[in-house]
Amino acid sequence: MGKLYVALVLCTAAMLVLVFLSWAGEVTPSKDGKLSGGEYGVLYECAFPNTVVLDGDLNELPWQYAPWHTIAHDEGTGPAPDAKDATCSFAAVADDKWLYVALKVTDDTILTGESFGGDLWNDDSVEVYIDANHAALGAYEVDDSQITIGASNIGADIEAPELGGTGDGPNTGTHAAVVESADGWIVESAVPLKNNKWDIKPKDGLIIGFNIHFNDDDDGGARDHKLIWSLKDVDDQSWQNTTRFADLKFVQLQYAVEPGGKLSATWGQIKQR
Amino acid sequence: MGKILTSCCCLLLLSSFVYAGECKDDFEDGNAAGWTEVSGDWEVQEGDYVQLGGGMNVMGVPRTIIQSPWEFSDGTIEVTIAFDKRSDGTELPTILYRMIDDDNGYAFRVGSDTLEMGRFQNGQYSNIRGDAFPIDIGKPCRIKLEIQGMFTKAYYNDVVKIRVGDLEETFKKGKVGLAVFDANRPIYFDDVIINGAEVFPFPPLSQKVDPGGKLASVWGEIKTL
Repeated sequence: MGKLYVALVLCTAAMLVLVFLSWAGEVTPSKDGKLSGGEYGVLYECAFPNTVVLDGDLNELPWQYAPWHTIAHDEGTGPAPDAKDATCSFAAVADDKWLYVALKVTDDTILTGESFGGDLWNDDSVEVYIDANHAALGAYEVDDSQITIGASNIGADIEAPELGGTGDGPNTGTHAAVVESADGWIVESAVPLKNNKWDIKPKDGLIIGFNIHFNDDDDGGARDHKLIWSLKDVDDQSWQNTTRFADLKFVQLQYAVEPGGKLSATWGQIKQR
Repeated sequence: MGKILTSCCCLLLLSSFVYAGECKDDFEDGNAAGWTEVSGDWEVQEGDYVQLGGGMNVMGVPRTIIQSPWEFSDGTIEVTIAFDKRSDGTELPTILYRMIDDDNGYAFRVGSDTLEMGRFQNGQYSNIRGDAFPIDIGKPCRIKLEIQGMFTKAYYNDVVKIRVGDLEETFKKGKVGLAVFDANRPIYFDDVIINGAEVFPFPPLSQKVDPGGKLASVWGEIKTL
């Protein structure tokens, strides 16, 4: 009886885990355990104030502590056959001037240089979506943007990257450091919290509309795979419809304060020397 | 302990029913028993179910349709589709699912350069999402749909290509069908495999009369009255 009981419990648990894994992405909570990280495809918890230096190096303390959400290869309207082909993890932190978004892209073939400007999405690229007033409307307002950052920016000017996107995405003032990694490429971007489109003042509990996409081109021509974080964006309409966005919530939590009293700002300044 | 054991047993039993039913039809028996011809001209030819043309729905949209007798919610649908050698690729062979009647339900269409999912509402088709994807219409292709909740994931020759959802989940359950939208050349359907909770195999032709005495052809005639 006892063995049957254990076997049944194990089988049930395995079944539930399999069901969960097959239909959900992955959330890695903050390293200090203070943030659950939100809910995959629904909410990202963005800690502030935390400052990073844009250089493509994600070993800085905020990125080590921030929650990471991983979009699996089969999440999105254009699934990839396996994780090596296309996967994308992201994290976000903010200070009073910038929303920093880091993306670790797994991509077995980096392809750029065929599409430009408004067509950047046909090459390898990531997209950061902002709905500053969280209106979640069927059409874009002034304060909504799709900011497309191409892998074409690998090694390019961090303060003047080539950007694409709707909602005037290229003119949001976004900076990006893009570098190659062992299994793909990395984007460390900074979206200004104040520009001619929006004025976001982070405070504990403030929510904005937010989404992340990854366009994967394997063989030239049109995009081959499209991974999407927001569970509401089931038809790849975020480029024109903010009802498809998920949420980003600002949470007051400074990761970088350590027993030694080192503040992130201080640490950042040291790093710049 | 007893409650936990009972719960586990219930969950396992429920899970065993999720994909309990399977229907396969390779048309090698020379007939299409089980399918109901809703519109258009269909014929079994050399192990294929061939759509030969004709058909129009209430909105004047040309199409031909056959339907399953049972209803389908979540599960998988697999079909091999071949274009005629004279085809120009515009026929749009289609897999229909969760059809609540002849004019309402989901549709997955295979074009010569697109794969797309949409829905029929009152006979009018609207695209939910399609992706550019050129296919070789000179060769048969295997289409597999995995349908769960609001999501449809589509495979072309065993490679996953598109995953689309309907946020409203407009249709939760309904019949499965095959269709062709622009029937200017024959389209060949073969090796249909459908898995789902309420799916059951088609009976052999000799056992086609069910306890209610309803023949598929009679049902079709009644429907057209």
